[in-house]
Amino acid sequence: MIENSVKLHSEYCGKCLICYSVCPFEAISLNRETGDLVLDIEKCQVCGICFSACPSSSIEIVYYRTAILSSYIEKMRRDNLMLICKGSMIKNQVKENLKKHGILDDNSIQLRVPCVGRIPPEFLLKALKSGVKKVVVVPCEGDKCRFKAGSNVGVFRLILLQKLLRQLGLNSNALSFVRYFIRAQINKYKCIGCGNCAYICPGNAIKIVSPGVAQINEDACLGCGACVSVCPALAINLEGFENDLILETISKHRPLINEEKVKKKGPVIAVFYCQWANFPTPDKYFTYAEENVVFFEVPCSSIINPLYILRAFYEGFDGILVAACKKSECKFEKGNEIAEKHIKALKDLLKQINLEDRLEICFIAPRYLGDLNDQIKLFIDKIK
Amino acid sequence: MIVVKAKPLEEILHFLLPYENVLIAGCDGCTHPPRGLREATVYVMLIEMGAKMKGKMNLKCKATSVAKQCDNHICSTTLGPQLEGVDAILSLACGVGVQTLTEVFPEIPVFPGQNTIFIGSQEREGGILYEKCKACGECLLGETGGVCPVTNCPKGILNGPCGGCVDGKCEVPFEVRDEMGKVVKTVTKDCAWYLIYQRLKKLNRLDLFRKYRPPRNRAISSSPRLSEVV
Repeated sequence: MIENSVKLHSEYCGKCLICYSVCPFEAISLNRETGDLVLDIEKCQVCGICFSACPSSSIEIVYYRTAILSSYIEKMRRDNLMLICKGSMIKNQVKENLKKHGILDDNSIQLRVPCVGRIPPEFLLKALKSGVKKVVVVPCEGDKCRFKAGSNVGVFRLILLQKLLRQLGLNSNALSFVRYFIRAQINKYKCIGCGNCAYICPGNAIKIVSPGVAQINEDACLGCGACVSVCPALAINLEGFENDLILETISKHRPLINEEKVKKKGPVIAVFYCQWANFPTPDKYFTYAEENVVFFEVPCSSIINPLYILRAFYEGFDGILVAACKKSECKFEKGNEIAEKHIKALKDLLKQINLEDRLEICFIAPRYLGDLNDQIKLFIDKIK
Repeated sequence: MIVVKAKPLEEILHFLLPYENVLIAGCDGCTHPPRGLREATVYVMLIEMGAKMKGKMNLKCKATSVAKQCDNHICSTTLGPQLEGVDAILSLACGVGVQTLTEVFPEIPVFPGQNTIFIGSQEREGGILYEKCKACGECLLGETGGVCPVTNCPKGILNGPCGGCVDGKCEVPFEVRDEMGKVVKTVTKDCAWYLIYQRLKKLNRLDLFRKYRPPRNRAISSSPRLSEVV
């Protein structure tokens, strides 16, 4: 039986209806007869906004449990904590600025969470209490939030918390936030003006200007990376997920693949998963823990292109599994469809060297516990 | 753009197996689908893996890309310095690129990585590429409302439509083929002369439709053709 990763415990529920009102996907509904709140798991995207808003802790989400995160921070014993939304990142410019103010240095914990809206205020207070001197939160820009309202809810809470700290006579500078967002960047000297990116962009952010160079509208860019996967000249890179960086990370695993210890465990698998389809925890409790499975996180499955997959085969991986979001659940409208198309085309190509069975795409959702693990097990059995 | 179709890997490997250091040259020019640096890099890995499966372990490839492979000056300046130790070139350009490279580097064998099919355009939604121009040498488009009967009509008739035009559709099924030459699907297309009629009617120029056109001068389009830069 598939277990859900989000649960409503009605025995503690005070029926305050806050979760009902904050859910951006209308997944929580009210049963008018009994007065109970009902969670429609099919609609839930596991953003966690309800979890952090619940005053009676009656909502349980297995990923990123605050207790685990808190103990992790305590264990690390660093001066600064950076909470970064997965859709956002620390841009170089921002990074330098932060360094100048002494906020970001080697002495900081960088924690990437699916959405800053899921972080309850008491977690930040606990972190400050446990010895962290400064907390910097990096949410997405408001209108770019993958969970519609998460970024705004998170920032609103932060401002309230800052005010609270000030009222208590504490240093309110201990808590700050910088809004940012991942964007695609085009190297106009490499661009050949083919127009693939302009066609595929789900946000219509790219246009081709004369003489044959793609230009990106930074405000409209969603940061999915679909353009990266169709660029034939390697001219587009997504901040934080640059082509060279991903290829380098794949190549780094070469020594691991050849280790006897790993080989004994079975075929060595590379799993490329969309960061919105699977949430690993810092302690890796819910992810497949065997050494022969290597995970690569990508911002959207649409960024996965033949280059990454062939490089992984080239480095010696026995099989490659691509995990995309379920149908109509892509945070960028059609990223999973684009990925499916790419994989299909690539399988046709791989058929010519008899590798087509070694590549598979699956569709998963974080709301079902162990969804990815099951798919990995199926895939390993298939290629054995 | 010039529409190309990748050759089966089997055929490419057959070309390249006798060699050890192969340069794979993409083309950033008008080939469609675009075959730039990314495609060249993909081919490097595919060919090396394919060769290993065939038992040839020492085939080494490297990828590069040329802005326009049909320009001999660009080819010699950008590719020339990269040819040290290279004993074969696989060109990912159209047939023109392969021949230009052969002329520029006569001592190195150059192989085509793909078949050049036609001059055409892509319908982005469906992903099908249509032939649009036959390079016949005497453009008629001004008289036919922008629809080319030489290319779009299977018979290439200049005074149409013929009796095979049924409900505005051409009676000939248009075949889409895969790289092995097998028919993947068939598409029914509008009759070119039906389209020309509709178009001229819209433009209020039906007088052009009634005009008689004498047979084309086929001497203009007989190969090989030459032209001069003026």
